[in-house]
Amino acid sequence: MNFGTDLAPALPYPRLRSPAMPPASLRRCVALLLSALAAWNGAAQKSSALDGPLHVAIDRQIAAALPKFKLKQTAERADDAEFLRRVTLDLTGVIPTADEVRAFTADKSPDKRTSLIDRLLASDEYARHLAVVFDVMLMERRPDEHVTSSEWRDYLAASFRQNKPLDALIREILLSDGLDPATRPAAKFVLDRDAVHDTLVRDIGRLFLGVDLQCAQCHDHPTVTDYRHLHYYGLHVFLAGTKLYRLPSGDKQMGLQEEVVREATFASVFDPDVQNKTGPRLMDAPAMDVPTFKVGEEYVEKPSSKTRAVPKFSLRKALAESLPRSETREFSRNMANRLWAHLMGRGLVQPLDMHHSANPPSHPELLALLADEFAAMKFDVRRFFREIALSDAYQRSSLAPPGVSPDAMPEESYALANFKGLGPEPLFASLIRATGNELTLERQLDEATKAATDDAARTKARAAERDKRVKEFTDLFGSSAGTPEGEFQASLPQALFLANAESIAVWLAPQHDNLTARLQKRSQPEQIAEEAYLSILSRSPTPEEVAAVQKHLSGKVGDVLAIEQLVWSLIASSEFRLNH
Amino acid sequence: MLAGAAGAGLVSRLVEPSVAAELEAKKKQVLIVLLNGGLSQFESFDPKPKTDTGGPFRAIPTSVPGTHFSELLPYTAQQAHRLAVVRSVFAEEVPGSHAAARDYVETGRSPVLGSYPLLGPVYSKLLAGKTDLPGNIHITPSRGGPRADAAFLGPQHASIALTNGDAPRNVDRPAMFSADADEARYHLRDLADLRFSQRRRTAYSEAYHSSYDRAMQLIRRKDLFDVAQEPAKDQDRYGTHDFGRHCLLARRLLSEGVTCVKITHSNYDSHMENFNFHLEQLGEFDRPFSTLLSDLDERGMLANTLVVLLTEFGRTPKIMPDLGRDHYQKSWSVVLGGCGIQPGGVLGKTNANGTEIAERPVHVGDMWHTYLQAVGLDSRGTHDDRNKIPLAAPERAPVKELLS
Repeated sequence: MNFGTDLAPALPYPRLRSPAMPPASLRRCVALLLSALAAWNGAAQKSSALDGPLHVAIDRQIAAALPKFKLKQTAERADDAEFLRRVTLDLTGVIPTADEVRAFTADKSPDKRTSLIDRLLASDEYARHLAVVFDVMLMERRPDEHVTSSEWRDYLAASFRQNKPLDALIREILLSDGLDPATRPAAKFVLDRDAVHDTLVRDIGRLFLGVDLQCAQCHDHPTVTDYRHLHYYGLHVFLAGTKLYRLPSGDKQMGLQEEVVREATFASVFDPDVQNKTGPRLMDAPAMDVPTFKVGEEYVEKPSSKTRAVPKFSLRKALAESLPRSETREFSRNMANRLWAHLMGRGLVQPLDMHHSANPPSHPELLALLADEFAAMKFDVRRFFREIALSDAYQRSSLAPPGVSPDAMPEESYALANFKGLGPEPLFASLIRATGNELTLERQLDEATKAATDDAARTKARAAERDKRVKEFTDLFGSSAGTPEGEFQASLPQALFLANAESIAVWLAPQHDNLTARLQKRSQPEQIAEEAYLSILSRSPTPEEVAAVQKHLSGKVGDVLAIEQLVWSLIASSEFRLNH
Repeated sequence: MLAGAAGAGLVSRLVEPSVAAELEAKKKQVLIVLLNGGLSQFESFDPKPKTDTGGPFRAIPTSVPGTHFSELLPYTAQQAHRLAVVRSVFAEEVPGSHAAARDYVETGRSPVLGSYPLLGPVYSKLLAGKTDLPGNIHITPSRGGPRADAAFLGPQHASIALTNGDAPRNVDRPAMFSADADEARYHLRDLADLRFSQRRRTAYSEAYHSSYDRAMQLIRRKDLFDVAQEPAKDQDRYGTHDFGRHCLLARRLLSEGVTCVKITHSNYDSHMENFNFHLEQLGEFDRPFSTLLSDLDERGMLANTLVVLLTEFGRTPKIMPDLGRDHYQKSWSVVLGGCGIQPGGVLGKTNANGTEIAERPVHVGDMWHTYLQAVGLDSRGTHDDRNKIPLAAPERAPVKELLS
């Protein structure tokens, strides 16, 4: 066996050579090997090669690449309000409150941005927002099948709350068979794809390795020469034995079982007579050697109509052990790129699932650095986000420097902050917050769940009621099931909804002490402008904007229609709709 | 920029006026009629009277000498010279029954390959003409959730649903905003965007602005969806039942320049009482469809409007107990007409009792290539915005015989 560390990228998983061996000792042997491997992993884990903080290295790389984009300068540092709104949205999925804007802009301490980042990363809102981000990333708005979204999001939130390393999270997701109630939610990834092998191969390729093998399912990819039919089937073998299993509990609950499949036979649709074979393999790594057993002795529990098939050697487990780790270069690169894109508005490789030689990263060295460092920090998501958020690149304004056209500053240069559309959940949460309806919403949820008999039922019912309201947004603003959230798009039904829907109008109407009600009571247009802008756009209005509000309200102070027009116009503005 | 973008079509913004005029003049449109549930080929376009599989209905002559349709389609039979019938369409069986089979037919890809956009969104994206009208409208018979049919093309190209032929959701202003009050709030919104766009990238804010522009146009043009505004004489010709209204609405929308209109007619899933079912369903379908076809021709629109009559699969030759026919993916019929299609012919053939394809099998993926080619799109091309995915299944090819 050769586990030389430098060879690691070429050998991304153990090569287990165990010819005819008694099963019991073999099991022990596999266990030993895996534990040895884990130990070796630890030893092989390179510590950081940097002599300073990662965020400084990020900025060095971005600066070094500016000439490539024919740029001499970058945008200036975002002002406090712009930064606060951006980082609050990115890390907690909602705009800051007007009070938070006031407090942050008034704060004189020099390290207030660092403190803010740390505070947000430590918050419960962070864990819950990351649960949404990863739900959307991994499940892509598929309708629930076997595991409910709320169980799954609770599981993800708990994982991010304890800052579970990302490799460990993905390992659990690939490994869980849905039997143990404690880890069952993790099985959603496989279960809710009905354990359909082709779906799993495509999605594991795209989401965990950053390669979209969809067009390599029936033949080598027609336009991407790096993506081969062999890659598709190499990954396929790992999953080909995995099947749904109806748990005996009697409530039609499904778990996973695994039959023994060791290779795939495939033929290109262009050349159907040539049969090819492969064992389990991850992309270009050689096929994995797997233990062989005598026919009839491959199972701990043989497949039958009554029992759950359990093989002595599980290839899905082998995948869970070998894919999410630093030695699988595609994995650390893909995950680093996805987290980067979450904060920076675009991946260093874009689209996120098209890592291949004809689509090189905008900053190849930076991507390599991020992949290495993310692995070196043991896939610590909080630490990784912290470094990116501390970089000048993240903290730049979306406003081009005077005299420079923003169009001359390409998105992939990161010289100017990139826009991100607000996803459906952040849009809903921000709309409620901006219009001052957080209490109103709470009251609505109370009212709708007052029949609940105990706290657990009430909590559940409240979540369901809230989800019902968010669903209007996900239906209209979310991606369609099974496809990734793409670039920002604006559709006609979205605009009709925001302009005319009853469920928007209800938040604009004055009630309790919501924004419209508060603005209606104010007599000075300057105060109205200040409060509206702080609440909705998370900044103070410019003198020009105050003047525009004065003009709009002239003779109409206290007029509810005029206030609603103003509130709506800011809610419907690009500045609100985008994270800028 | 913001104000100027309002009325002008995308074409005229991007190219020279004279070229724009030419493009507009040649603007291609598409009408898709989906017979939902699985139309029986035996009771429609591939009758097999007096055979063990043929059922009780006769075959009748059509406007094309030598071509016969089922007697359930007397009016459509008189349109045969405007149509091309393919009697030898097939697909591999897919799990998931109706929905998956529909996806196969409407995306040209086996649904086991993942999500691909349906025809409507593809046309909306590639044939987009005037931007002030939706590119892809779906007239559906019943209330269903929003169907995200654009896959990776994104929400901008997803179909606008007209449930039971009603106007799109949220097309009515909230009670508190009169037309004037509405103008005022859009104006304020535009001002906010103008300020925001200074020294910032404008691609997103322009797209966002344009969605409100189109919303405003649509709110003003709500009459577009009001079929009652068509002449009473036409309402009689099309009939007052749902499918008749929907066909007349489709004519109205196509005449106004909507790029792709799809009508779903439900339901043909006749596992029992196949013959009564088809008698009833086709009785509703036949006259409005043929009226629409001849109207499009008489208005000079058919030459630029591709007509596609689809169903997710055919029905079994074997007549089941309870006089039903089950799902059949080994062969069925698809009918095309209008733009780019060689009319008056029949392509492919099934054997004497319709159990097998006897001549020129045509895969649904081949048909999909053909739907694109017919309106002048290169089906060998790729989607431009993400991952260079081929427009149509690369191992399939357009059906040359069908193209004019």
